[in-house]
Amino acid sequence: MLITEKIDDHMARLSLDGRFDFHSHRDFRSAYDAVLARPEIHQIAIDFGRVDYLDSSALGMLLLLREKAEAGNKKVKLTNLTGSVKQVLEIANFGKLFTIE
Amino acid sequence: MTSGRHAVLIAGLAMAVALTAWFAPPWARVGAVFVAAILAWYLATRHGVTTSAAVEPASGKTGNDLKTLTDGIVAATEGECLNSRNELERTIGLIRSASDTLSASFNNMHAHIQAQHDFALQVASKLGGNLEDGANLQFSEFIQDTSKTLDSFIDSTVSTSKIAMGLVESMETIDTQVQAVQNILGEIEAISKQTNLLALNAAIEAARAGEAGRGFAVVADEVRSLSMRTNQFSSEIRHHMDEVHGSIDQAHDAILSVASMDMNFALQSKSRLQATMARLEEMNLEMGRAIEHIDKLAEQVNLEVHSATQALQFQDITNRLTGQTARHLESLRVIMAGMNLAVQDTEPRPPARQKPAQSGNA
Repeated sequence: MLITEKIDDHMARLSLDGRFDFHSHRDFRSAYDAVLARPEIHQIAIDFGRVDYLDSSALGMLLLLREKAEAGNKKVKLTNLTGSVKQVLEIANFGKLFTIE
Repeated sequence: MTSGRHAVLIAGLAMAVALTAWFAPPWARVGAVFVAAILAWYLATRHGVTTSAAVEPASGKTGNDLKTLTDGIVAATEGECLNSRNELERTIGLIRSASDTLSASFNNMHAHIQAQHDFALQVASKLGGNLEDGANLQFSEFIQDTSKTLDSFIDSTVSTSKIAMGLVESMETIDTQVQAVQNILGEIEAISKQTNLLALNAAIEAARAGEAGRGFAVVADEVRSLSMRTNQFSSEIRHHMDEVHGSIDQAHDAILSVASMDMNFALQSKSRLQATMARLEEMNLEMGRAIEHIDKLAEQVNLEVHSATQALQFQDITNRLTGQTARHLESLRVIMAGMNLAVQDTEPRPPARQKPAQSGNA
């Protein structure tokens, strides 16, 4: 999975591309660790526009990210949800945990 | 001549009565017989007066004709009365049995409709519709339970994955530290190598110094052996660190199989459940509509059965009417009997004249 990072003022956007599964954990962690380390960032947006598959480890990673972000007073929102990615996130009740756009 | 004309008239009347009796409905038969009887009686009495006034051989003949005629009429009337009475009785019997059968079958119909209605209600409530009592919601409860189970399964899958990914992160940290230790070990090995070389140089220098360097040579040897022991420890530590790294890799693979679950199973199960739920609701609605329809039909059938049962009370009316007809017949019979008596009252003379009449005839 490819991750592109873009920063606008207080918001960091991580755009994911490809399969978001267990094998992406190093890339994903290093991407969000870098963002979490920046104190001026208040919000992290994860863009799922190019994600075609999501497994349970991806959900686990998102929950870990949320936990860490909240510890650093940052908010996480999930954007560009479509198709099965959207359905999986809905089934896991992520709408209650994250802001979804 | 007049009595002959009367005879023709009476014969004609009798014929008319007979025809009426054959073709006409019962009330017309009764009427016809009644009219004919009145006419005949009237004629007979009139004729009786004339025969007693004018004693003629010809009038004796007329009396005989008249008697035969009235006898015939009386007999025919009585026969008709009897037939009509029998027919009336048969009709009453038929109507009674038919209306009894109809009443019974209407009552049965009513009972069956009620039973059918109750049964339909029972079936509907068993299947768990949103009907009045709503006590048996087993099927939809089962679906809701399954849905809850699936939800909690998804929740636990996700939280397991979260914990597993947390473990993965911790292990990554350990692995990084193992690598750092291995880097340090490299440093230590380099230092030990350097120390070893230095000891070797010192040994050579000590040899050159000869007797004066002897003590120094011993120290150089000790330093060399220390550097070699350091090197040995370092490689032992490296070996252990390699094992830790290998174990971390194994744990990583094990966690992968726990954390990485395909979520499509949940999607499919969820959509199947939702489809079943929707179908169930649809079925409940259909069931409700069907029950309502059955209710309406049963109500309608009940109303119709009620009105049919009421209509069956025509039996009382027909009984009364046929009773009246029977009484009319009876009075007709009494009239005929009276007429016969009246005709026979004119007889006392004819028996005396019977012989001259017969001789007149001959």
